[in-house]
Amino acid sequence: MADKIGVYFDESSLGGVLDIQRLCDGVLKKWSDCCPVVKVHPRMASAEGRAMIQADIDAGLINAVCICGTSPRVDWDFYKFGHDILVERVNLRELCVLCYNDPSGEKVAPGTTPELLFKMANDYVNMGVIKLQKAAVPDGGAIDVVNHVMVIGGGWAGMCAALDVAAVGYKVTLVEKKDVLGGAAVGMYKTIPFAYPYDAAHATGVEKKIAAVQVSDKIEVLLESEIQSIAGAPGNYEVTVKVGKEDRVMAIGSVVIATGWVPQDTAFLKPLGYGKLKNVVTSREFEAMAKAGSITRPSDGAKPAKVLFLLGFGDKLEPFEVKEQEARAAALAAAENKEVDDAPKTNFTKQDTYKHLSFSSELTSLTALKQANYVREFIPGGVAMVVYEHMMVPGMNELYYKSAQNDPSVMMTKGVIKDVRDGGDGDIVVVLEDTLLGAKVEIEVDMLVLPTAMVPTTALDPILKLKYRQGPAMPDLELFSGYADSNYICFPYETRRTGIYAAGTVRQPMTMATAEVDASGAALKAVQCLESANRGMAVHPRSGDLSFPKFNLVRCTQCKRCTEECPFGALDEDEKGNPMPNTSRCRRCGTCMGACPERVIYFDNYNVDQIGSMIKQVEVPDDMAVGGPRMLILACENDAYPALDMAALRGKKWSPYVRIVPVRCLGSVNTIWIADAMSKGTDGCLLLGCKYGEDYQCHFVKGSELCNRRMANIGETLGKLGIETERVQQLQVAIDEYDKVPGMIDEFVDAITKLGPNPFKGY
Amino acid sequence: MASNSILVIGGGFAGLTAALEAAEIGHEVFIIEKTPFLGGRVMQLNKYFPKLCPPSCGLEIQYQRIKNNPNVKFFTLAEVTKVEGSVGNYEVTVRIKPRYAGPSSPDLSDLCNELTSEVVNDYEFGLSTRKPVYMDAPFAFPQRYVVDKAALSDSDKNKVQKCDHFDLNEEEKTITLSVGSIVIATGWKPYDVTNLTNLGAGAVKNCISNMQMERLASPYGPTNGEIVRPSDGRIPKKIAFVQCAGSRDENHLHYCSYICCMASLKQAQYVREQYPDAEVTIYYIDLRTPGRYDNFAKKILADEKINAVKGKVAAVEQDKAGDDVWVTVEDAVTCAKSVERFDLVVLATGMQPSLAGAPLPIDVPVDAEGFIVGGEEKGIFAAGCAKQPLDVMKSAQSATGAAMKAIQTVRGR
Amino acid sequence: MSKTIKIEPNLQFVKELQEVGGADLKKCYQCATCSVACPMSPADNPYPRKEMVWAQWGLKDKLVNDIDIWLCHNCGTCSELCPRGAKPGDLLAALRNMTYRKLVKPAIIGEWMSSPKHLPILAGIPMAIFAFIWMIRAALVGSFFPLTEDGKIVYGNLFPGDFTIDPLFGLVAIFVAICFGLGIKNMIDGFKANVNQTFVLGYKKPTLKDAIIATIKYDVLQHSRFKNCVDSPADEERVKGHQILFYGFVACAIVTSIVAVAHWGGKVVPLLAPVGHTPMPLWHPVKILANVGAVLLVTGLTLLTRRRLNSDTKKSVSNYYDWYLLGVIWVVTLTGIGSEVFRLAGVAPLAFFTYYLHLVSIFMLIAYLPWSKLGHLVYRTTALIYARYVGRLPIDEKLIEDDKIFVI
Repeated sequence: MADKIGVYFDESSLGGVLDIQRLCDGVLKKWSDCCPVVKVHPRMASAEGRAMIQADIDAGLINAVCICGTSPRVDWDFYKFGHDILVERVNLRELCVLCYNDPSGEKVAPGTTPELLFKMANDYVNMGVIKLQKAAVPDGGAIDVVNHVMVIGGGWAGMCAALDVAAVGYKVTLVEKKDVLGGAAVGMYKTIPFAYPYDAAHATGVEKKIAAVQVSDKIEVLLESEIQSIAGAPGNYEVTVKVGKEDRVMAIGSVVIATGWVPQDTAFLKPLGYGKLKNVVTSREFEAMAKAGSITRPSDGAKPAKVLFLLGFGDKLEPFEVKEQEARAAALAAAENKEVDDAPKTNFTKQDTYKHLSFSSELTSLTALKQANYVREFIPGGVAMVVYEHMMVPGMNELYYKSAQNDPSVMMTKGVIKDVRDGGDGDIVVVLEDTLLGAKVEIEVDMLVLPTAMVPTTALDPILKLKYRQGPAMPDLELFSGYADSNYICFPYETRRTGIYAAGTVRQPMTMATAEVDASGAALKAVQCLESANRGMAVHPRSGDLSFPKFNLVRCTQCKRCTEECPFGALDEDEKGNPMPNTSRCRRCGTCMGACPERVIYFDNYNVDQIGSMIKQVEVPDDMAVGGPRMLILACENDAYPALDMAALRGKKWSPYVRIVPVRCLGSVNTIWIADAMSKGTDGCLLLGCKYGEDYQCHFVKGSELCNRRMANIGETLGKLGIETERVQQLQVAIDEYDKVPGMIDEFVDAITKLGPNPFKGY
Repeated sequence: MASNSILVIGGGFAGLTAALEAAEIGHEVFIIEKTPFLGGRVMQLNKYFPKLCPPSCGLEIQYQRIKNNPNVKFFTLAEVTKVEGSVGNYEVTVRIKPRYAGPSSPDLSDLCNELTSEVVNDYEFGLSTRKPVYMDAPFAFPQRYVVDKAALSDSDKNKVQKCDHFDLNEEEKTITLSVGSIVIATGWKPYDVTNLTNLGAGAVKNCISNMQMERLASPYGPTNGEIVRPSDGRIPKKIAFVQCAGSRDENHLHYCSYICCMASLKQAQYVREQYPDAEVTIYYIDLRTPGRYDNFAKKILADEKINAVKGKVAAVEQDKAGDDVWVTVEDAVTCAKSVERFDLVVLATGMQPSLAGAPLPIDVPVDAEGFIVGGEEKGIFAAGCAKQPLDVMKSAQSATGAAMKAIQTVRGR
Repeated sequence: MSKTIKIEPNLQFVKELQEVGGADLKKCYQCATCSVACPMSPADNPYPRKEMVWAQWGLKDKLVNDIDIWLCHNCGTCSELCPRGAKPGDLLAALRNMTYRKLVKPAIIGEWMSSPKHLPILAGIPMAIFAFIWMIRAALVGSFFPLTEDGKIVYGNLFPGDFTIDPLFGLVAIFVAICFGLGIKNMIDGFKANVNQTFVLGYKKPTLKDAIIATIKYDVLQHSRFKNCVDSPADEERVKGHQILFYGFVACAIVTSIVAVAHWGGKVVPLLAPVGHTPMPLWHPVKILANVGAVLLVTGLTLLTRRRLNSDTKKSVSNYYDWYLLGVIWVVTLTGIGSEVFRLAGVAPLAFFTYYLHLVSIFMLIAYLPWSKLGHLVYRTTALIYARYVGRLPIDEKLIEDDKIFVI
């Protein structure tokens, strides 16, 4: 608990329009018991300013620092006083002085402090002080971790990841379902080039990898093995692996899932002639022939002189699209009718879609080029025709395209398939449309090669078999059509199951070269997670945060909201339904704290009482006509808050009647805050959070969405109190909407002002 | 003696990622950034495809991570001038140009506005001018001004000198760092349009580059986000996107720049969001939207006012009478050669490695185009677009991988 | 409109095209820069992009009957702008070479003309013929280098027109004429099947006469389309060179015909005879014309050869057909001049030998005409006439200037 708080005012950033002395007097009078030091410095963000504070700390006068000046987003480097000294930055510059919009519309004359401006500053200072009072130095949730990584999947990516982890000195267990290592690569004759000059396909080199894995004394290989279950949390998972016949239970620190891909169900290729015509094969089958050393027609074993590689499907897949749309509609309808509270038994639904064909476009294009070159190699005088809609070989692989194409026997055109039919004695007649050879052309070929779509193993099976309250699989798989991928462009390894990181084609369709890099990345995250858990620190996005949620279980009513809502499935349940926290799974977003109706969940430096008390510091005038209305803004500190900062710095102004309180995530907003604020007469409450829905931007995945759902309950509560529900609103703000957000605020303020005073005023 | 520290050259998204991922495992990292601010190219982007989310969102998190991590040390306005030693044990000399603005960040916007001189704004690709005391972006990091001393007029000098926040006598510094491994994340630059003679060579008034388009669409850009014609500020009704402007071309960049197709689809979306009746045509050789970007492409091409034509534009000319732009192209599918008039033409100019024509003082192999093609055995690893053209997601992926290799290098010994 | 076309890829034909000058055609990725970059290519179904994809697939029928290869004058702009270095310009040249080689029988000559290794045969035939004549005559007149009694050199004494040179070349001329006849027929038949009529609105179908006149006027005499095909000073030099060379030929043609007409005509109308009596004194207007012709030939040749030697190989590569023609014309011209100079100088052995070579080279120029690049004289003219006739080309060149309105 911070009981000796030094309050410091930075003159240089308050630009002479604030009566700083009066603010100091206010602090001294109101907080005399806990604020022994109240000082003003002409330029706080300077060596001298910092030294001044350090001196007070060293003298033992204070154990917490409250700096009233610029936004916490700037000059951070001046205000670090070690782990034991809590620092609070009261943002008087951006959120008070710069954004202050006097009701008169007049510009504030230097040296004068309008009463409204003073009140705002005063509220913020008091909020800062109480925030520190209600905070304790987080003690960290360090745990002893098992420095042992499990890599699931002994294919190319898996082996690369295992070798990478071993190379930084950790033990690795590599779990492979088959009785050999190597995965898909083993079946490949050649791979497209990995590196400069990207001009020729070459052997995969998978044998070398396998050898490297086998000689590593840090890597234990389990063949014919499958995951039975994963329980526990990063740092010390309890993983049950079925090795051959018997189950083996292992202590594991973190997990890399590299279970790769499986060829798509050929049912999706029926409209393209597969199954109907003998000599229509998949590129996988074609590769196998090349690997086996001879390319022949299934029908008669003859060498095909004319092989067509098809990449343009035209409208042939539409039936599947229609079917899937109908299925989706039906599922939605079903979801509508069923009760909200019955928790799903599993979080896994199969993602077996025709779309995997187009998602694999880069690989299928590269493979077509590669295999077109096989034709000349294996069939003297043979020709390979490649029909593509778009040659999907982005980046450096353009160079491979160029050299693969520069072969007399490779013939290419843009085009899509219109029809395939039997041409007699095993031949196939392919009708193409929109080609560069004519609007509608017909080619008779000896063999038609259709692309093999790469379906991520996670689309068909939970794989991980997590013993998590929220289910056995990675969540949100449907968002990514079954790929164990990240939602974040900036953070490709972000996962909703801390400590479990996907690598290779299970995450995205990718080449072997990319998978190698991807494996390194996932391996790093697996190691990083251990090192963080070991120090009791959160991993991304609150990396290094030592605080973690604590549970006062005596008051818990087993409502299960926290365990259901945690975006990271950090909370399990005991048989009674009490939450069982797993600190190392937790990302410290506070969603559980926001969810808890009994307020039994708290962080040392962020809790319901703390924010509640801050809100109570807002002075609400009894008479709105005289003192104006008061409104509370709870702003997501990751996006909405920076947006407000930037708006102010860009000279934007907004209503002086609002008070802004940053929160870790809207998910952490506990409705009690709003209820309290409203019951003490606050006229309105605005929640500013991230975009939610399919392309959500919330860094904690579900925060803003959950908050929005909770608004329903708030509505009810307000209704009971006889308060108009419009007084509480949630808006989505992106971090770059700094020019829009002031307008949003003013619009809200106007709407509320029209509603008139909160009926609870003065009670 | 061997060092556990890692040097990251380049403070763009790849550099930041590599540095942070390594630092969060516990290694000391140094970021060397040439410009006054971290963030690199992505700073200049309005939105990312396919989510159309703002880059500053991810940067904000990266900056938070830097603020909370004592292992990360960064230097802006800094350049590596010498690297000595060998893998595991490098002595790196870094030259740091003066910023002329002291630490801490008072709000100097009033002072800046009073300054008389205006400088062509390279950050905005010449679409606007800036003051000689400036910050590139509202989310610039570090949130501190920088002085373009050479550009100060005499009266400006006086004003600036009066403010105790500045020190125009600040001198260049040189520091040396000892590191065990080096990550090169020097990124990319837009291909110089003046080389594209048949596409107007940058002289056609209303023919802009895709990066200029990003600036036009950016809320803090020269037009505060309004997409208008540079020549007359008019709202464009008919817009063309010219793909492969310099990419996939032996006469320019031999490779495909990876992002341009998605970027143009995204920018077509910018236009359509602002102008419901605007018409967009995208001229392409192949529309390259690999992987799940397919969803994105399908969504955007579903708009009947956005159409895509297979054909590489061979000529972009200014209208003889006015500011309109003529585009000559053959639709390869219908075999019709046509000359069309547009209000605005956007060249999807490719990415060229920053090292093209500006090599580092480090002995590491680069290909003819300037991409790094080796160095691993020396404990030097390329990340992001210094190695090959990539999108942001894949740059971050590549950077994380590079960080892992760097850590292996410093731990392996 | 979309009737289904059967496609039969032909690997062999692809390889042949690569041999006769289309080496890089496989690099093309169909971006269509070439068709647009070409200053001459029409708006509808422009070349050479479509030819490139046809060539990549070896679609022989489409290509051998493709009239567009004759609309191209090979300025090389397409190859210069080609992002893949596929050199479309060279492919069209290769296709034209293919026509020289394949269009008319006997195919063996086409074969011989396609590669330097057959040069000995091509040269050997006339060398043998004229050597034989030389021997016989030498035996008759009793000297290998006979002089007139007043010590003059008269080639006619060794190679008399009446019963050696004229009949021989007469026969050759007839043979060539017949071959060309067949060639033209094959061409037209091919075009009929493959070129469909296209006309711009407000533009009436021309008569064959219009087409012929326009072609002679614009292409043959003025080289006006050729002149559009220019994007560098080197190209202008090329057009100039070609035009000068062309008029040089015209001059020599006139001289030859005057001499022939006068000579044979003289046998009927005696007073004509002196006009064509050779050797002529230098003041003789016909002689003057001949010498002017010679000068034109040398100038033209110099310009063209210099350009080829300095030409950027990225833009276009000169192939054997180009060099064969240039070479032969050089020899014809130089030996022609040589014969005159040495005759006047009175160096008999040298003079006669040079004249011998002159005859050989003329034979090589004329006898193989339908299979040599010079065949374009006939084939291109035919194609252009046909193109104008069916509207593939505008009948009036002015329409080309403002090509842009030309878009359909």
